[in-house]
Amino acid sequence: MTDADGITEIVIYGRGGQGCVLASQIIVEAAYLSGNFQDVVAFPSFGAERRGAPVQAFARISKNKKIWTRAEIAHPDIAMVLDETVLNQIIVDNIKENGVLIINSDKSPEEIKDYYNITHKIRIASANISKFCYDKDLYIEGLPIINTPILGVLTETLESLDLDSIKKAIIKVMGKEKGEFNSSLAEEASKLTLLLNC
Amino acid sequence: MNASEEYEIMIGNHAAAYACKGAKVQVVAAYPITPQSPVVEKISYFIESGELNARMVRVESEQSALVACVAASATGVRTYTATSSHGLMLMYEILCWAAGNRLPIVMNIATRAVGAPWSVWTDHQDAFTVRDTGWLQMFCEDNQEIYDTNLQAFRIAEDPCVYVPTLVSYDGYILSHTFMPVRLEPQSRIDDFIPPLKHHLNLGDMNVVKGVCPVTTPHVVKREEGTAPGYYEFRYSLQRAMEHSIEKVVEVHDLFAEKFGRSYGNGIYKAYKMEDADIVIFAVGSVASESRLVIDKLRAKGIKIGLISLKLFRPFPAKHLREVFKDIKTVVVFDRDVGYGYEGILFTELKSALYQLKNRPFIKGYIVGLGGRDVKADDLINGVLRTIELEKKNEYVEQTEFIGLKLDELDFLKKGGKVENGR
Repeated sequence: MTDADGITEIVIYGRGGQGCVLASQIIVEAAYLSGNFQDVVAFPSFGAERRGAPVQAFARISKNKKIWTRAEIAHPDIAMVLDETVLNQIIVDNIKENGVLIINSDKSPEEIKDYYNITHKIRIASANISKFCYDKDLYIEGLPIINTPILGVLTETLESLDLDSIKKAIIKVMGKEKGEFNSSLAEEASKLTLLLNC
Repeated sequence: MNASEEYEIMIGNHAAAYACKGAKVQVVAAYPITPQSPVVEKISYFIESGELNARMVRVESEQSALVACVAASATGVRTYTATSSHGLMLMYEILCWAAGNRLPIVMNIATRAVGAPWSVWTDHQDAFTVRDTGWLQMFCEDNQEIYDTNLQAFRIAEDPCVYVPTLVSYDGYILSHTFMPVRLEPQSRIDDFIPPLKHHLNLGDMNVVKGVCPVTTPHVVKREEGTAPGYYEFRYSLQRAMEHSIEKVVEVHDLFAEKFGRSYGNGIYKAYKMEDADIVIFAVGSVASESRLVIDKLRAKGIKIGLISLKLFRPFPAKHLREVFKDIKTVVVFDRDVGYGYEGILFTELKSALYQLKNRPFIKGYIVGLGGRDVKADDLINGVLRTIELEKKNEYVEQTEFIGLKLDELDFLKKGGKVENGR
């Protein structure tokens, strides 16, 4: 993973209203806080966004070098899918060799691999965050809270980004009260992670 | 920058707003337009929360916004606004008045394509279109640069030797809505850097600065030289002020670098890997930052290529650019704008500046990324490689070439038909 310059590129796929942009913001905040990354950039798929429509958010975190590219990420190191209904073959195929697919799903990584016919060498991390939200009654405006718990799953796949930094970043971005609650969700969700090296 | 320093991760629009707070702007008048709106929203927040002692004038259009700024600035208060695209077009008339009145208003443009067709995404058409209104104009490549350039802009615009309104432009969305770490400076250090605004005119006393009156030129009586006496001389003085302001831009940039430890080339342009370059990319803003990857990739292939990322667009630093390009063999200009009916605006400007050189480089311009079409490093590389090929054949292409078109994909070509008459 990561290119020669030590830049890790992350794309978050979800639906408008699920907080993809906030997730990207927390990722770069955490990466910067961790001290392991020299430069970070996060941006939404630009333009008008609608609730429920498929949306993307992007994050680049760089270990050694300032980030100058402003282009959208075509081939991510990490694809993070908040809503399985937006996942398609193109998203899967676009993940770089040795990259990671993180997905909120009731399927196991093995089932995901078969279902999406994944043939290239990537890691798959799945966690059933929707069920986690359902069990704990975690809803905002009728939508389950996916964006902060799935960040816990991210830390299980990316060595340089620890859970502690993610938790701190969530509190920094969301404020103390909401942040502490959401960071506890990230921690709990990280334990639901199922990992498969393809 | 590293994480131990004091920083905030924020979007470019908020970096602009924090600079205005740091500069203690006194009057802000603006009208919301995508992608500029978050700047003024943030400033409103600062005012409402008591962090900034300023007056927000709510208006019904961008034209009124700038009129309010002109009026406020004429009373000698620090004045700021921001806009994009159609908003800027609606301001056009008042842009000319603000410059003619020599009012040190600072404005941000979150650059955006101008319709039609409708587009909210970035290109540089809006900023370049107001080229000739008499505003100083600067471009930025990242959010820290937006913050830093805004702080410098107030000091430059308000310098008694300049007194020209100033535009600081940054790419809509690409910077305006992108999160990056920004180091914010303590208030006391900013106060040291930007002295309080001195009234440069006094509406009651025409003799303070002769000829400077925001209402009308003095002594409007018919004289031999015409019905608007002094207009010609007045405009001459604006041109001279612009010419001289280059020195001030450099001076303020150097002072800033000394005080805050961050610099942007020489304040006029940013050179990247120029030491042994014989081929050079010339661009601004998002196109320049993307070009940095192009330089790295092509250098890995053994091509001696460098980048000049232009920061100061008005006044146009022709003398400085001639010095840079005097020994360069080939120049590739990427414009995210078009001077319709001719070519890229930056391309025209650079060629004009280099005309005086004894050995003029081979120079070729391309249009890229209009209306937010993604500008990818590979697209720019193709432009560079094509230019090298053309130079070998010493071939000049009359038609302006666009990179990254999807004519076929978007069904702009008749199926099975040929492209006729460029359609």
